[in-house]
Amino acid sequence: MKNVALKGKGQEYYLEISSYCDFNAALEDMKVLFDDLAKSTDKLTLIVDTQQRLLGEKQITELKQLIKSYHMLDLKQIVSAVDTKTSLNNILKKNQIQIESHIVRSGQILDYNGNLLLLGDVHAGAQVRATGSIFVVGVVEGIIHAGFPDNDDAVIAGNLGAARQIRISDLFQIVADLAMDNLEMDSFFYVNDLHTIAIDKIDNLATIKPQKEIIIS
Amino acid sequence: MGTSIVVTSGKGGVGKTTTAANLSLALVQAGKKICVIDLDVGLRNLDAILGLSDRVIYDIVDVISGRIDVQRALVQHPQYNGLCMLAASQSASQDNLNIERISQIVLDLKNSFDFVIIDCPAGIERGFQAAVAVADSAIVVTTPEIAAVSDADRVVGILEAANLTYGIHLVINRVRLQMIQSGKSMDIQNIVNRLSVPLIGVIIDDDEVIASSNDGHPVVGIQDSNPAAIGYTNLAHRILGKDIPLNEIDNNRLPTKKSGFWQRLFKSK
Repeated sequence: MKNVALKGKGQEYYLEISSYCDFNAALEDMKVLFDDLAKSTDKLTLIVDTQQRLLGEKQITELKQLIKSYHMLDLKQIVSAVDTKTSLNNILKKNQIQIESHIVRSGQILDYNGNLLLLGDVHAGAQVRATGSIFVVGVVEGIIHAGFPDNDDAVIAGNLGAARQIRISDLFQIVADLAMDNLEMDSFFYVNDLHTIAIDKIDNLATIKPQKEIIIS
Repeated sequence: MGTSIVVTSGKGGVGKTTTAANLSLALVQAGKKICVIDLDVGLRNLDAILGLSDRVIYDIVDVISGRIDVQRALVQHPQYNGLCMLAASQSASQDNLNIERISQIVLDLKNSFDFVIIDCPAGIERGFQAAVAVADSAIVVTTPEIAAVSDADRVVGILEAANLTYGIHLVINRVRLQMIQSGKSMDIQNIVNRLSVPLIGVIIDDDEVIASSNDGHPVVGIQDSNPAAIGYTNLAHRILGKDIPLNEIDNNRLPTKKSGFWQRLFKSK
């Protein structure tokens, strides 16, 4: 039974499938293990760890069916130490800063996934949206929407004195209504704990909204 | 093979048609063969400004629908040999503008003319899209007003996406010297910076432009010394590649109320 191993880590039970064995052999071993367990346990919540192996759709259904056939077992999730390049790229994209250099003109709406560094002006009537934070080098006269549609962690920084509106997450702020002396080149906008848009100096960005490291889940 | 130039603005009333008419005439005077197409279907008036209203028999919708060959639908200007016009239909709507057919028509015309100038309707609807689809280059006309500049910005955005062969150029029309000098008007440099499009012409506002258009004689054709006519002529020469400094405003500066010492000295003589 060296192909699979049941281990307790903290509060969880992990079923580790060896990376080097044949998957069908592992399933056979699992059956033996589960038959044993059925005699002694009446309830067990499992996390299956496939280690260096990435299961395909078919293998996942096979595994799920096997676990389902034992009533005392409850599959919490399937984890693995590896991931596909596509999903990694998507995660990286979300966390990387995209650099775009062009003028955004009236009537144009630009959408970005992740954080954006925009090198260029945003003209009146234009809109720039990103799911993450937006940093602008250039004059903003249009609308900047960071954290679109509902990411409160996003921030906006740049020359925003002439902007029409600042939007973060589901909030918006009409810039003309702000006290202008607050709005300097080195200020940034964020969503505070009261869920309203606030301004602070860029020096405080690190303490107010620490930049998160990449989390692969 | 000629070049097609679309004259557009987004906002209405900034002088697209006037610019198209005067530019065409100025290019003809420079010895070029010009065909000017009115795409403002339903609200045509290029024919009136060029004084060709009486001569229109067929229009562009007739050509699009295949009722008539494009060469036969052209209206030849009686005074200027090199100037032909393809009129817009007054009764049809912009929905009749089949973009594929128009591209074919413009291609045909480019073979027999040096420049095909397209007078675009206001707005960014079908007529505008048809004009952009067939253009090699664009002249964006704006006036020193926030509404016109803002619409021009929108139009430039769409034109940029169209990747025209010879690019986009800006003409600032109806510049009022008094307002510029008193600082009430938008600054020319500000407009150019804001749109970030190369400036190719500045046309000074002059009553004569409207007066002569009403008579069906574009100002370029009748008054060489008129500041607006000079502006249009310079615009045409710049399109032809001549290096003419953009000094329309400086050359036409109004005398200030307090004249200088030397001026007073010479006037008193």
